[in-house]
Amino acid sequence: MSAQEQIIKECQKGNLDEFTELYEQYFKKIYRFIYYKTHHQQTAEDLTSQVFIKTLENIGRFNPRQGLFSSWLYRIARNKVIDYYRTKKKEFDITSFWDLKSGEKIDVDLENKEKLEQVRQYLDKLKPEQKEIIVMRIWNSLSYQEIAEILNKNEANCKMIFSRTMRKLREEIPLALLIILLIKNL
Amino acid sequence: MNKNKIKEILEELYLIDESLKEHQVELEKIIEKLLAAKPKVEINEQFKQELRRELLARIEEIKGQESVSPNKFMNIFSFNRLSYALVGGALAIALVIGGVYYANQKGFLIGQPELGLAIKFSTTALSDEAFGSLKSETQEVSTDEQLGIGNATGVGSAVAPGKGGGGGFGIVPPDITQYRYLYKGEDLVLEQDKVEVLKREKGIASSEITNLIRNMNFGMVDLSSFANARLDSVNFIDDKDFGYAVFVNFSEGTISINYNMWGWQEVLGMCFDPGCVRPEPLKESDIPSEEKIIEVADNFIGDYGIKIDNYGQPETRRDQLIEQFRGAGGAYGPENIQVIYPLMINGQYVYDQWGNEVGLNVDVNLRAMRVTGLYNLTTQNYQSSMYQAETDVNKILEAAEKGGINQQVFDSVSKTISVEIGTPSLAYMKVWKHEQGQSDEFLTPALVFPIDNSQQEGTYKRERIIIPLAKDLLETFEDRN
Repeated sequence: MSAQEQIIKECQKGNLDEFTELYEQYFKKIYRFIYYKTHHQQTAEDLTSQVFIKTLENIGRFNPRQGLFSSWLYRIARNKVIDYYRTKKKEFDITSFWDLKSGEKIDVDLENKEKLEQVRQYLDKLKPEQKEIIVMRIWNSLSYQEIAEILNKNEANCKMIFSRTMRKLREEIPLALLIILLIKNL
Repeated sequence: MNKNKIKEILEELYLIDESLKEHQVELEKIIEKLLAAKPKVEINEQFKQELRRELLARIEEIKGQESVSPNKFMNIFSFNRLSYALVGGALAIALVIGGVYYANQKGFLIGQPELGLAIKFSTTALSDEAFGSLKSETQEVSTDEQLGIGNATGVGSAVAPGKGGGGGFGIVPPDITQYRYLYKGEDLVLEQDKVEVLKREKGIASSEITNLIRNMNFGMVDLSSFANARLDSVNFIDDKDFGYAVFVNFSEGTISINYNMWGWQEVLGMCFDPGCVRPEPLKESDIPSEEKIIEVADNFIGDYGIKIDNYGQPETRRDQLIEQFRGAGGAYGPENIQVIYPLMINGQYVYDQWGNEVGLNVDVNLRAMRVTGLYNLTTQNYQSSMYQAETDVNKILEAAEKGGINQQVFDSVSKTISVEIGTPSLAYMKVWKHEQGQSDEFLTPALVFPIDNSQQEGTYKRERIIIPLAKDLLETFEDRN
């Protein structure tokens, strides 16, 4: 049994003090995961708090036979972000920053605003699911197993979606946009 | 560092699609620039420490709650078990049962003795295929599933999916439209050769309470003379205007709540007296927004402290209700709408064999804008066992394109419509196994195919097709075909 599995087991037995170990292991990863979906520090902090409190309160329900702990945790985070955007449903019908349409404005941190706008334009032709997998694999460095468990999909299908998305980016996205992206990020 | 990352991503890509190697240079650039475009994330250490403190405080709070846990409360009864005097027993029952419902209106199922009806999700792992075959002796569709619903026969209900309601099921109308489903999703790959099947352990009343009741003598009958008596169910009546009747079924591990008719007649527009003037039927404009309907259900759940941790975002089928109003031409309008809180197991939705969401159902009366019933609040204790999974994609798709494993195919139909179905997601399928007069409830991992609604006709539009991944159940379809 790995150290992490041992910690989870202890927490499930009621020794919740061990939970702080999990917090230390996952704080940055979860914060980044949420930040890449919201691009707003205050929002990311609020949602990260909610994720860890919810995880603490529900750790007894985690079943290792159903998948990785990390996937379970990321799934809680993903659901929190979806809920957050649902509360803004009157303004936007989206589940992530990446689903915003051109011209729709939402609070984002100023320092990343221009860069994000370019990436969003670049990824605009992709389906929300394709964008999400790209971000999870390339920015969050999540494994396909984690991505599959978070999205409730089959691992092989996630790999397939990723490879097709890369092909689509290569074939269909105007070269000019890629060049703009290249220049702006140099 | 980025170079290693790019190399790793490319190598994975080539394993999936070797032909991408031809475009290595371009792909490298795309990945490189996507990595370069990654926003800079600064971690606020102060926030991290504050959250850590908040978590520690919450841990202490939880520990405090556990020190007065229901189990410890129940131990009091173990101690008192020596005293089986009628008065003492009756008081104890009154205390325990009253504790569940009456003692604290806000405390229904929260923080009180649970009498074995644990609502928290839990599983106990058993050996492989421990439940035997998952198929029923006869492949009957259970009573809470909706016969004929998969045939889009033009009859339907304005209820949310999950539980029957409305009328018309089981009656084959003269015009039958048969749907042919065409898979238009991504290529599927099925890798897992085993899936974890869950069997719901039905609620069992605590032995302490059963013993107390069994040893009581009510005067008219001495319960102790029934050697194997057990507590099966309890019924409460909240005797007031707009009161409710609460039915707790310990054997099945379910709780349902219904309006207690007396005190509701006027507001529900009921007529028992021959001279009573029936109120006008509701009009389409009387149907409140979905938000308002859900607010009524949410308030009820909050007021009665009903635990909905295992359930997702509530929804209604208001659109279908409106279509029913229009179809009735103002002569009749349904009075109730159902709000469903979908059951979530391990983060996945649960559907019945027809692809309808399974969950907690709350009836909201549109005339009174009050909750008139709540059903399917069930214990969530499961046993789990691994079963052989189907890995042949063609078999799964064949079953999906025929509408599911129990889809009825009519010999004679007036119309056939082709409808597209898309890439599936993972979910659980609820199945009942009927054997020797007993019914057991299983949840099996399944694939859910979304149906393109725009191509369907009629009021009832089927939303999804569900195919179980457990090979044993998929054989039901093969046996039929």
